[in-house]
Amino acid sequence: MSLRRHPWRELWYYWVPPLVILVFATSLLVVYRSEYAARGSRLERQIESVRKQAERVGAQRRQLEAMRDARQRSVQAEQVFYSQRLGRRADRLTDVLREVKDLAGRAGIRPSSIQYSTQVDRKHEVERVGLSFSVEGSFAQLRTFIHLLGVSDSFLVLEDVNLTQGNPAATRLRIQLRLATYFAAGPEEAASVAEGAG
Amino acid sequence: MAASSLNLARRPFVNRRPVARLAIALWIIALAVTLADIGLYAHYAAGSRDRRQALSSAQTRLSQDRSAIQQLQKAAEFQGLRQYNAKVDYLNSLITARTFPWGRLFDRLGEVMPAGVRLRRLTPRLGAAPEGDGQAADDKAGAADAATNDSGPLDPASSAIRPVGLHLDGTAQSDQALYAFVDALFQAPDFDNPVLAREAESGSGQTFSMSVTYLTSVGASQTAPAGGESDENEAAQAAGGSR
Repeated sequence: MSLRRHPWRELWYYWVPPLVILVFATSLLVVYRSEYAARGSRLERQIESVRKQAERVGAQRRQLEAMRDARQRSVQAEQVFYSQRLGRRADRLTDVLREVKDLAGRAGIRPSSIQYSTQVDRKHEVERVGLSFSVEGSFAQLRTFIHLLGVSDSFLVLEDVNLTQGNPAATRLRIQLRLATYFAAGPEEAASVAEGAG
Repeated sequence: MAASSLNLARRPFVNRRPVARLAIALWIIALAVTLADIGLYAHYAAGSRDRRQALSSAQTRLSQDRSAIQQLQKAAEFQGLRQYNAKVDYLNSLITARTFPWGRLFDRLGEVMPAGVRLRRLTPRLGAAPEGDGQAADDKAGAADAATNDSGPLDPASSAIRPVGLHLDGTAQSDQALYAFVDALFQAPDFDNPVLAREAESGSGQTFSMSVTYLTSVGASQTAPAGGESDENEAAQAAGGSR
């Protein structure tokens, strides 16, 4: 009689176990949605943040490596410049002086006297030898001489051109030139020049 | 009514079908949700393992890069960088002085100098910043650069425009000739900001001193360059590369 009246209650073992399992599985689903999914997103964001940081630091590292390589190349170029382009005074001074006179002769002007000055720049390990002289000649000869200086292999710098007795009517000018050449001055060269100057 | 309550069956009839149907539906749904749970958690576990590996890998890479940066910063190449750069600047100024295009300067001056003006002294301030309005010099340098580039392809070493200060002493037949020279310098694209420092009457006319900025191409020689100049340009470029 009671079964007929309350089949749900009497047949509870039919529907209660799946209902309990369903409730449990659903609660697991809710927990996953609320906790684990958020945890996964947090981890993703953390990975993304660390990756971006790593990319930034990696770029910084590559930049520093490029700078180091550039510095190494620069130091090599500097050594080549000092040793091959400037050279030591003892090795190159007289060659340069000969060349200046030779170039002046080729341009058709010849300095009667040359004044020399020597300065050592210890900071930059360079020794400057200045040459000042006056010549007489035409403007075309001056241009030729300047051109020859420009194409010379020696490290000659024209610093000043002074037409000391320029006369608008005259074709020949008195030209005062100031040239300079530079030599590598390592510690030994600098000391010897300083002794000589003293 | 009494007949309707009479039950002659051995056992009373119970309608189990609604209960059974609901139970079956519940089992199916519970099974589906459980399977979904298993799939999600398995996926989470696998994903979490991968993410942790990725995080660990990124952190390792970050740590390695940081360590490498610390090592690099201690490297000899980065010590005394300021002094080294000052030295490179000095060497570059020497190279610029060596390659200063005197011939082209004479040509340009010849183009702008009116009749009746003669130069007595010409001194470039090589390696030093020119005086005057740097912005105007920059503007003209840009314009000169563009004009040069329009003329055709050039050696990259010669395409950089560099302002060089010039000091000029000279004589002019009259003050009008001198002012025409100043005006011509203002107009010329290769010169900028002429500053008249002195003018004085002399027996032959006016003597004057002035400074002007010459916008020249760095590293360009006036004619066919010698091999040495190329070496210098290379050295200059290489030396400038450590910035």
